[in-house]
Amino acid sequence: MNRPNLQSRLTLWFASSILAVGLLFAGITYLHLRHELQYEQWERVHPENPDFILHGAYSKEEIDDIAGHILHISALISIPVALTALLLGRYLARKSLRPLAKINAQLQQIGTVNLNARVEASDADSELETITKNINALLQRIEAGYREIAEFSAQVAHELRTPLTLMRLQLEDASTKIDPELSEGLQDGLQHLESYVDQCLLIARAERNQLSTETEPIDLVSLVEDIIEPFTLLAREEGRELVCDYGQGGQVIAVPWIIRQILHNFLSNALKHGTGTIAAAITHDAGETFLSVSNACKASRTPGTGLGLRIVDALTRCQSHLRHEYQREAEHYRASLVFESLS
Amino acid sequence: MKILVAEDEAKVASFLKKGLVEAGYAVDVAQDGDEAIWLAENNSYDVWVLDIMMPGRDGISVVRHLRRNNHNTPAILLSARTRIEDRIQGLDAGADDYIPKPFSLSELLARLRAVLRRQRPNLSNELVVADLKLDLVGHVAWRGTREIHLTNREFALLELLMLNSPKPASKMAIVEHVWDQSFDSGTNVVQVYIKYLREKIEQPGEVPLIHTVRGVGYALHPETE
Repeated sequence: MNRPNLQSRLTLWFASSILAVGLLFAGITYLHLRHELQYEQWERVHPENPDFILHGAYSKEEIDDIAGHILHISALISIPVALTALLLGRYLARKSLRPLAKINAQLQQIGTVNLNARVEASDADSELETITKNINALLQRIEAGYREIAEFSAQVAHELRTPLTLMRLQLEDASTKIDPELSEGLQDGLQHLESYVDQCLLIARAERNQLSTETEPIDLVSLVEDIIEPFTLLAREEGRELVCDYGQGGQVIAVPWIIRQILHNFLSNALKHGTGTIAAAITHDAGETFLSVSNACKASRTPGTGLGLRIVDALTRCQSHLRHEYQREAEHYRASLVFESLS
Repeated sequence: MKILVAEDEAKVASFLKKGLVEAGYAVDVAQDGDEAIWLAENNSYDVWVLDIMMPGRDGISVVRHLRRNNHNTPAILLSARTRIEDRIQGLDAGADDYIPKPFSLSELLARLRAVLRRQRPNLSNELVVADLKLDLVGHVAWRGTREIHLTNREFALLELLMLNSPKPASKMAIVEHVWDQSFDSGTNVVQVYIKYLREKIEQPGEVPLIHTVRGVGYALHPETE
């Protein structure tokens, strides 16, 4: 069984405490009253003859009746007291935990692209203030570590460009003097290496929030038509087909080069790791626009480096209203870019 | 034509000099920014090719300094930094072109020719190789009197081959020139585009123009090998 959350537990503790105190008082009153009624005697002036003083004591039945009445009233009052205590307890628990909820909400907003954000809890008590300070110190250490890694990746990528230039110039110079097959193999290898450097640099920049993210209206049909051209030809060379379903088309607000890069990666993956027909589609659902690429999967798929999807992930996180989804059902795979409604 | 190359990496500078000399240019090499300024102020060059990251003054400071002193020689910047902001900074400093590393010699030569062409008063909007003409403004090609419609990428590919003609352009240079996203080398996208371009510009009975230079790349010229 799941343990109730802290707010519920605080509410129950508060209500139980109030009820226990009330019942304790009622119990003490009951016992004290019984004791008083048993041992104390009453005196009264005779109603018809004022010169006489009447002395008397309560019978056991009278004592039971009076004390029982006290118990009955206590039991009746305890129900609204318990309810009031529950409500009051809930209110106080919520109020006490509000700064925690605020801190939690702020922490949920912090991702790799805004690691410079800090948690604020101005109206928090001293205990929470200490926690906030420690969280912020932790965030600062994470940000510094993350920045160091990203800067290192970017620096390595930059530093690799000059030796890559030298290798390319040397290879181009030697290409007519060495075996053509060896030359082509080296060119392919070098191109692969350059492509990795570019991709690592792109990820490093995206994760450091250093990409240009100026949005503009984009006609998705024109963009898709332009990007799919080489993929259509490449698919045809492999005896496959690339089909497009533009539906009602779609205008979105986004950064054009980011959308181009993401679609490029989706199509590259479909071409490299998929089989059969590749389908690109623009659809709409619940105010959201979907740009999807789907294909059948190879049974024994060779795993890639995952760089392409890592880039997609890093790029979508640069824009708050973008997200990507992957669905795999049986031997069918679909990658989608979702433009969330801006309203 | 005389070119000043400023590059601190001795091996890269040596290969640039070799390639440019083979292409018919006279080349002086500076190993840092201060030497580049001294050479540029005391000699006449047709183009400066400057690396951005150099000891002492960087390439951008060199261009800025020379422009401030009324030197109008075209400048091409080479840099490992490829961000748009870096390009803007370089061009705003007074450079005429910006080539990100790594680059091919054929690409540098094509950019050099483009920069030099811009210096000529009678700027041509056409490239011509044998009976093949390419209209750079209308994005249309003609083989003799036959008009050839090209897609944007086919146009970019043909433009690169014609700019390099008769020398071959490497596959890497083609990929960089034609596609804004880097294609995985696992795909044969260049071969596929060459095939479709050949089908368009070489009809039966016409002289083949596009030649595969094994181990090097593709060249466009009328001579058969």
